[in-house]
Amino acid sequence: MSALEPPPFLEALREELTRVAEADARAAAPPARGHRLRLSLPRLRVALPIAVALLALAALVGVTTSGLLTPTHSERGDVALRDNQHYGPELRRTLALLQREPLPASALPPGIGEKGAADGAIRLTPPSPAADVAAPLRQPAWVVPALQSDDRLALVMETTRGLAGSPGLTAADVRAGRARLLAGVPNSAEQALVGLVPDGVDRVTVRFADGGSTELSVTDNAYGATLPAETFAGVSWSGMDGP
Amino acid sequence: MSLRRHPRASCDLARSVDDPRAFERVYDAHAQRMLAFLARRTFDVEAARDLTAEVFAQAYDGRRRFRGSTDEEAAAWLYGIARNLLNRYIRTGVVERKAIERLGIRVPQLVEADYERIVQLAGLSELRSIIAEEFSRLRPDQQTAIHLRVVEELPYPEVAARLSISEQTARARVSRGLRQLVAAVDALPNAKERLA
Repeated sequence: MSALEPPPFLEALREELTRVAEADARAAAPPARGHRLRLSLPRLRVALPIAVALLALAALVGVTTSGLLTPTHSERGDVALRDNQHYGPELRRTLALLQREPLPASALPPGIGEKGAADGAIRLTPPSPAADVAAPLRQPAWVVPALQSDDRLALVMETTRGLAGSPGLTAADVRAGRARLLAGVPNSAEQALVGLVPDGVDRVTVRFADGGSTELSVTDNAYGATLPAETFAGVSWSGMDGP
Repeated sequence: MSLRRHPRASCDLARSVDDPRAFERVYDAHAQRMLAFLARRTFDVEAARDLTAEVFAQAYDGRRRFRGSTDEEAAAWLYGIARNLLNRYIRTGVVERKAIERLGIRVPQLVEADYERIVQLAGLSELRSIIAEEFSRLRPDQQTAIHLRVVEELPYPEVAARLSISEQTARARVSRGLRQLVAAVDALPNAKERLA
């Protein structure tokens, strides 16, 4: 069997996997540098105070950084709505997402929906009244009606450990930036962030614990990103209600 | 220093967590056998191609979940993925493509040479008499369903229409029949060594 020449398609498939692997390797590689910086003690004595001063200055003036201080992130935002009849008027006024035409593709997967309903976190009525929201890489997330009332919704995210959720969010929570969900990504040093914003907001600023920040685009009332763990400090946008 | 940070990175699959390019070696070591393994169990060259692509896509995508440290454990993990996908395929008649789509992999088209070489690689010709014998033991309705689906390569809705049954029943008939044939292949002496 080993003497046989392999089918040509195996080589083509190999090239496809190589393309994906090389793209990942490039994304994971540190920025290219002309030479490796060696820090000796005398250099550290000079460099350290300068670095501390720069960090303090950045934090003080709220500089938005997109390079050194900003953890890398990835984002994707697309929203589709399966059923828009299960939300109260205030939520529907706040989130245009909830008024869109239903799309079958955004149904909550049966296994996930049943588990969420069994846990008491969400209401599950056929057809599944779910909207899939901005999904951080490989972490699908949905908006579903909350268990308590039509005036509340739940933001749920599928992780490899199961369902994570922020149940019982109101329109006021959305306006105050509290409609968000941060969940650990198993076996990685990353967290998946997904959140909802009211109509009219097209960008949000995500702040990090080290004082840096970055901007995320909003699509259909939702933003999403994958962030290094323990770096998230908050999210804000122009004109938001106080938390 | 590298060893301290990654004490289990002693096989290519584990190494590929930090160095995605190491996954190429995993592919090179297993792709042909994996394709043969799947072709012998699906009797369908195109399904074997799609399943092979999804196996490696899932393995690449989920390589951080691999907990082993040896090439043998890596092989066992890969074939575990393959068996899960194969079982789902036999049950539903549909090849799962989630990881392929998530990674944006374009599954290559098959050319004439692929069909010939996959049949050779999997030794499907050698299996003909065994499969024919096992096939004759299937119920007539299963035989017809498998013939329409596998030999004539009709889509399930058409199989269902030809047999005047529901699509779900058509899938069930093909699935049960194929499972019986796969069990016969698995029961062959030295099947494990030859196939995996």
